[in-house]
Amino acid sequence: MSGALLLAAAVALLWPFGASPPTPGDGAPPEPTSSTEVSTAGGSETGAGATPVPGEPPPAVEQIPMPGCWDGLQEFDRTVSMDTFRAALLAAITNKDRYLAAYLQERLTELVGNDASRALQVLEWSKGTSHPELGIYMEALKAAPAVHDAKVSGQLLKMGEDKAASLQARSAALDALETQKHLGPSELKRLKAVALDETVDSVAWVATRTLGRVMKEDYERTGNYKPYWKELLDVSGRSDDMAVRLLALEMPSYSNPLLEEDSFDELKRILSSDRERDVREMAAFRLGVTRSPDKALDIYREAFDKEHDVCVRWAIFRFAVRVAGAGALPLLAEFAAKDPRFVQDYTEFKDLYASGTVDFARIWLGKAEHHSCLVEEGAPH
Amino acid sequence: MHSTTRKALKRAALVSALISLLPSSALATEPRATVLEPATCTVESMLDDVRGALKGGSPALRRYVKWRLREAALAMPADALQAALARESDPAVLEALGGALATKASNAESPALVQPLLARASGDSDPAIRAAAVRGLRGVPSVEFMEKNGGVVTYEQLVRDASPEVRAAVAENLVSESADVYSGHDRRVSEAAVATATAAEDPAVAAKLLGEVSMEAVGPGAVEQVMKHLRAEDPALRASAATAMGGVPGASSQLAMQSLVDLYKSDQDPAVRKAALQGIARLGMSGSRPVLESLRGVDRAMDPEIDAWLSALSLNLQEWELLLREKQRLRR
Repeated sequence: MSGALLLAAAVALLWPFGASPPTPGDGAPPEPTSSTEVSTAGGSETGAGATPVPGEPPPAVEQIPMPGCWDGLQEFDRTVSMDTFRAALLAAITNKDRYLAAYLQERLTELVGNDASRALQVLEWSKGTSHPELGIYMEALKAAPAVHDAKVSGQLLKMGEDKAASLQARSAALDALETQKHLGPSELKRLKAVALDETVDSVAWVATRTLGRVMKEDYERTGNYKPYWKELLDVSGRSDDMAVRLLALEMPSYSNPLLEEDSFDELKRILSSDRERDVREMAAFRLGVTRSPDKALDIYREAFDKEHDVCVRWAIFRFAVRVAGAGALPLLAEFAAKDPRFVQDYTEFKDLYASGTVDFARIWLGKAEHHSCLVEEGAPH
Repeated sequence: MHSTTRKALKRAALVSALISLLPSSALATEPRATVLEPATCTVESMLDDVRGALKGGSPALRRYVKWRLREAALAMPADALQAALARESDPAVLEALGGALATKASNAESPALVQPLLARASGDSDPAIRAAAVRGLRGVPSVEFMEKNGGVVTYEQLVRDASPEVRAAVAENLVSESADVYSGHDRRVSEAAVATATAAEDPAVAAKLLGEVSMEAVGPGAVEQVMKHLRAEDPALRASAATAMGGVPGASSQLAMQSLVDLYKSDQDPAVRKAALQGIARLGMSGSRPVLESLRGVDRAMDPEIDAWLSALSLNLQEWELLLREKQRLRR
């Protein structure tokens, strides 16, 4: 979990601004290989058909897994009901057919639709299960309109809080809440309590992500982000779990609200005092989109002097440009004078702005990288 | 791997990761009312599934069979797919099969695989088939494919098709390719879009291309071509050209800024003037404030639009997407 988080965080720090940001927690897609044969259901991997020469090692041949095929598919699609769904899911799982399983997940979403009683039935099915079916049920529910019914969302939150349930089930339930359009004060408080529970590991991380994802949805629809950000900022300052602190600071990156000065004291404290480099970098990132760029520059100036880690300094350097554009160049000159490792960066930013480009998203695309600060998954740092 | 395949695979990433873990005891008690039996996959059986699903299947089934065909095509013999494509007469099935073949071409880095698709896009007698063949090229590096196949079929030719459905498919492909395959960063695709807009006799298609394809990587020649469209007869095309001028690279920004100021002063169409203001704001961002101030009073009806831009610019945001978002909030 923490390795994946580190990668997500690192990518978030470096993605081309203006492009669609990565989604935390997204898995990397499997890479298909190649083959020329067809297969039967079950997704068997087929060989290339070449006969190996005796005495020589067989040549390395790429293998492309064939999706499975199924008789009765059209009829099943026409007649499937809540009563018959799970037999088909069993077939998909038994045959390890991920394509069929993905279809069934989407078909279950369609079956549930806006019917809260069906959604509650799926929740009943999920009890006592584990992945893969647990994930299929919860992902199907997450996408169904019925997940917005108060009875369904309330039940999901209870499952997420249930200390008697498995961590896997709690995480899946909280993850299914991320498509909510809004969270009220009570729900925010309850999710935050899970996020701050240091005994539940990944469940706390998922609770934090759900807070952030609903914040994105609410902000993009209504402009409302402050209640969510208040709790996320508090989590980022209080959690003992570095992955949770980092994620809490990362989540506004997916909607980029313009932060106001009432967040600055806490961000300044985190930037200058968190024991983890990644968290300090993320605090610098967070200050890069604000209604008060001059005050953000003041915080960067002070933090740069106190900071000795080159990666955090580099974060301060580049996010000063993000917050003030060409207006940050005098501060960058100061930084470069204090730390010669940034002289080249200063020159390059100055030249990019002199070329007539003004949009930081394009400036960043044209900027060379001179610091090895991207943390790969699993790498020590 | 191209972006469409990647997106489709991402959708299943969770399922894929989990499917191998363990079977379910709870599921074992479910009555088997509907039977799904494993079967052998062939090109024809998969196409039959696509045909059936597109006729009356659920949205989930339609997505599944098309996605499965696309994935299976990676492993299937190219000649079998090409032969099926050559004899297919249902536009929707041809589009799905064409997409699968184009995906295979992209995955295998074999642009020649799409030649039968290009042939049907340019030469089929049925306009619905021609449009479907064009749509089959969506989501892959089709501009590069066309070049590597000798430029025998190009979007500049296809956009002159007599069928509006084909012309619309051309515009959709280029918009999608620029944004989804290259995130707007590819010069070749952007310049192909400008050339296609210039070749188009349909102003709506030209307007869509100029208004929606990223201009961030175009060279000076393409900027000059876009500039000519500022004098087009069709006001929607002039507005789109103004939008495009706002997105040209920094090296062309001074020329573009002056052309948009001139356009704002001379063009009487409100939509064109609005697009010119947006282009000016984008080209200069914070630095465009004096220019916008100078345009107050040229058209009193547009002054609130200038005020909205100046308010948004006062936030001193450094990214265009953020600035545009905040300005749109002000004018909601």
